[in-house]
Amino acid sequence: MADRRAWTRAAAVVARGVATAAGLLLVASMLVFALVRAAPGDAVDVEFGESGASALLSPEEEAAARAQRARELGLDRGVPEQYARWLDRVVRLDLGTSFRTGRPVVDELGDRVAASAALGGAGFLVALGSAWLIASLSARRPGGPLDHALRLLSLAATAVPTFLLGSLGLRYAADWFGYPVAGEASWRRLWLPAVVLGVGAMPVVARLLRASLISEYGRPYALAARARGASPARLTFRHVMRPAFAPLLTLAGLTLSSLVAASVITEVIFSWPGVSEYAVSAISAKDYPVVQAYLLLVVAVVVVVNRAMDVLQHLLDPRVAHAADVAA
Amino acid sequence: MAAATVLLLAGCGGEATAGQGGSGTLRVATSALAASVDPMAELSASYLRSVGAAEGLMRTRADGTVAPELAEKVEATSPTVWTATLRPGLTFWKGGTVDAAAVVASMERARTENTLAAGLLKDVTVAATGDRTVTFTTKQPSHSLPSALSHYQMVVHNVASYPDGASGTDAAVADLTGPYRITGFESDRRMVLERNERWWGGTPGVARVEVQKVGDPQARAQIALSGQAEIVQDLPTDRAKELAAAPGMSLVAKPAANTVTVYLNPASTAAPALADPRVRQALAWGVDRQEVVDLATNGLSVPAPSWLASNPAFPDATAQGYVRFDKATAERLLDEAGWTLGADGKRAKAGQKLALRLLTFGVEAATGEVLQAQWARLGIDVQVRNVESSLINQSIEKGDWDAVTQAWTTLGDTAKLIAAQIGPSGAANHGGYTDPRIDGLLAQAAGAPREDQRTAAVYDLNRLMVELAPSIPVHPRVLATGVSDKVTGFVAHPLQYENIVQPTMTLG
Repeated sequence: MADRRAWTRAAAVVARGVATAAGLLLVASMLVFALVRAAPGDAVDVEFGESGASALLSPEEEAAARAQRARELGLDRGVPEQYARWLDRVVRLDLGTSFRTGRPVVDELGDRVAASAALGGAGFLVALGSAWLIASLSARRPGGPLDHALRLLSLAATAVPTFLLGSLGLRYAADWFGYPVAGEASWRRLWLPAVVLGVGAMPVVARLLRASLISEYGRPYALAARARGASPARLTFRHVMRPAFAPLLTLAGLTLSSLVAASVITEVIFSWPGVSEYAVSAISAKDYPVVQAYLLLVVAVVVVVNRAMDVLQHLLDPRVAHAADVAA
Repeated sequence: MAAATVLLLAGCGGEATAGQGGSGTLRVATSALAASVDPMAELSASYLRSVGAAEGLMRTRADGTVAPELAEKVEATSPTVWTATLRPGLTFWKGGTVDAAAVVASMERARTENTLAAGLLKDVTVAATGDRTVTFTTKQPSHSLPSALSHYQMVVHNVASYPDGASGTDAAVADLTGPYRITGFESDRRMVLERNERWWGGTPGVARVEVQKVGDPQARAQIALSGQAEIVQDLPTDRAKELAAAPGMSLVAKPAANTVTVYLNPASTAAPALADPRVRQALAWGVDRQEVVDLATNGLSVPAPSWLASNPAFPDATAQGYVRFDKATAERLLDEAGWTLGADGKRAKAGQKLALRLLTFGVEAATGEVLQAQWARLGIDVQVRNVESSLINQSIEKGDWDAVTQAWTTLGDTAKLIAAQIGPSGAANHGGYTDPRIDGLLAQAAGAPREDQRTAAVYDLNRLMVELAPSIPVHPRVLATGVSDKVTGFVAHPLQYENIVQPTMTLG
């Protein structure tokens, strides 16, 4: 019965979540469109700047050629009209056509989403696993030498920028293990960027988890379990782990979504063929349909993952569900 | 016809031929790749040419001269007509014949589909006058047509293979003539090519070429160092010493055929001093170009005393212009212009400091910083900002700029290229500089009947640019390529798109 109530509440949360997500995405779409166009220059400027055609044309010919290209790309219309047309297509899951390749953006992103998801997921597992290890070791004796040492380790991981860690990792992995610096997305190539991503995301998760574990170890149910002779491992895994993880879900959601959709530096350094690496080249080419689609994808992933975490929190933590009942 | 000047550019065929095909896969890492297999798609032709997929009627040699490629010969049969005779037996990858009609169709599609090609073929009528004969008729006598035909955008493609709506990312669509045909294509990411057994020049040197885009320069350096590719293009100059010392590979550095130049705005309200040619000349004399090259490019480039100095076809341009660092002259010119040195080490005139804003783009950030330090020694306050190129263009359009760096190509139709720098309404004449001598010299550079007269006019224009100082030449960009010791036959070329996969290359 209690389970059924929990699922009903979760369904209500999902329904509310879908409605608010749609609203958020609409607002985000406006912001994305406005921001992308606020940057100086456009795709026509980039094309003419790089091709050197200006040197061969009179100013009048160049102006005519630019106007023609702008017409072809749909950039000759007013921004509100461009937005309305774009939104009309987006709601039909048509993200437009890449200025550079002429391919549907959906296909272009589709080719790369799996690689980003694999990298983000693997990075998330590394972050969560290492955070769990560090937090559980630290929480056993707060303030002890191991706790201090692990805190220093976390601080160091926070202080080292991703690009530096990535470049160094690439350098030594290539020299020592023959790590393939570039190529397709493969398991053989996945581990190193996943470690770099995971190490970067680990410290915050580890600190929060440590605090949560220490708090849970001090609660009466944990003390009682310990008094009944529960081993440290049993105490942790049987009693403390689930409630200790509950406050972490929101952070974990944010971490996962940023790792999946916005691992720009890591994907570029490792030439990982994901959506972020693709977006970087699209940004420099002012390939608006691709940039807009990418940013919208990032927003969508953040919204969806966070809503999913809300639902998960309702299912995992009875206190959240109870609070929702009281509020209702 | 008797009076027609006849210029024969005949290809012996030996330069580009390979003729001794080897085996193996050549792995290439580049900083950028084609977005489309259609050479008429924006910015794709140069990349297709660079990997050995595309060819034109003519090509540019490493010394800056042009030579026949698909054409057997190109000759001026009258002052306004150039006639190209195609090599016999040319075919596209899929077997279609490359005859005069196919070349004309390719040119016409280029003109329609691509702005750059339209510019190159402006006022040129192209016609097939025989199976292997194509004539190019110009409105005015044109001496630069062979140069235009060597441009990467003039590559010959099979128009029938690129109907409207064809996918530009489908390798099967591509039908070109180069020594390597595309068999795998991922837009802007990866390309696989295999030896074109039908190639006119014999059997290309390697069986297969795999080209991978690696966007991060440090990652490219690592690929070169770990031997994971045989050719690595566009290596970062800040790792030059490490790369040069690495076993199993060579760092081949070639100054590109472009000149990193600081353009100056004489109408700047923020830096009114730039209206005075003495100040602009002082800035130019006050640049220690060797120091800039040493610090900003790790010694991989060379000083460019004049704008044209990076063009190997005009070797005397290296003796023109600011051939030495002359701080004394710079100081004297500034003093004469009234910008005197104060006790604080800064120059000022009527209470106004001598200051300017310098916008740089991309790798030129390092050049900008060295210039800032050098001009500070003259008492000039320079603020440097490294920004996107589009921001530089926008600043120029608005007129809100003092100095910007750009690197326009110097190799090609030199008369047109130098006209863009200094001619009225030239695309790179950002400051709108004028001089009564310019028009006449430009006309002579483009249309004088004898080559020595045209060359002399180009040198005069280059000299005039030094005198007017609309801009300050500094150094060519660097083409730094990592070449594995396994590779033989690599020839460094000042054009990026001729500098990666060459048919003569083999793997040892």
